[in-house]
Amino acid sequence: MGNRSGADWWRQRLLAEGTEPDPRFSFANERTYLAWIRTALALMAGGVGVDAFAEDLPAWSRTTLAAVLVVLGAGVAATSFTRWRRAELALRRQEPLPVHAVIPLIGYGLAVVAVGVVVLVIVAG
Amino acid sequence: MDPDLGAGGGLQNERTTLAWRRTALAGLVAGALVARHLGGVAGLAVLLGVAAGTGAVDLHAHRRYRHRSTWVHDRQVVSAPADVAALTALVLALAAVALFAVLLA
Repeated sequence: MGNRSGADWWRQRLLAEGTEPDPRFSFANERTYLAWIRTALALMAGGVGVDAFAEDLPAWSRTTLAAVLVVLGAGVAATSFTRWRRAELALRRQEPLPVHAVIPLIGYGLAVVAVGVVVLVIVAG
Repeated sequence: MDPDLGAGGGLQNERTTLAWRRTALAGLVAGALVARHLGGVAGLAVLLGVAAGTGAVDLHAHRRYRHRSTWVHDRQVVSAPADVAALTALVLALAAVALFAVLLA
């Protein structure tokens, strides 16, 4: 990872098109990827937290909710890599950056989960 | 050479390195939560693994910061596909452990 030839191999495999973009765009793309990863980590931590601390919920719903959050976190992490790569390729080809349908999905999805948890707590408590 | 790129390159480099370190810290917190939920020997092993992984990411980010500060000046490549791929793999591994902890522990 630290040596140039290793990094070059990855670069040839993943980014073998177009020309090098302005470094500031590559940096920005990398920071965007890292923000997605932190989102994924938060989802995973949220899932484990629900399983550990949400005693008000019946066991089956707690485990299901926790597992769903962890799997969502894994999905966000996996897709953030492809998002990074597509953005880097778009930068290299000087095309417009791809728009991500998942962003409103995550927003609305989290709202739905929150409402679901409130309903569950009221019904079960 | 674009003078803005010189200063901008250094500042961008610094912001990006800070983002890596912030992410490593978030990984440590999430990993510690998973380890605590697992408990016992398995939890301790996960904690040690997470600490080692977090430390490695942090150290590597520092090394890349030093490399990139010259690369921007020399107008070489700064993108890091190997690092991005490696971090994704580490986070997915933690997700697998977290799912195990939720379903079976």
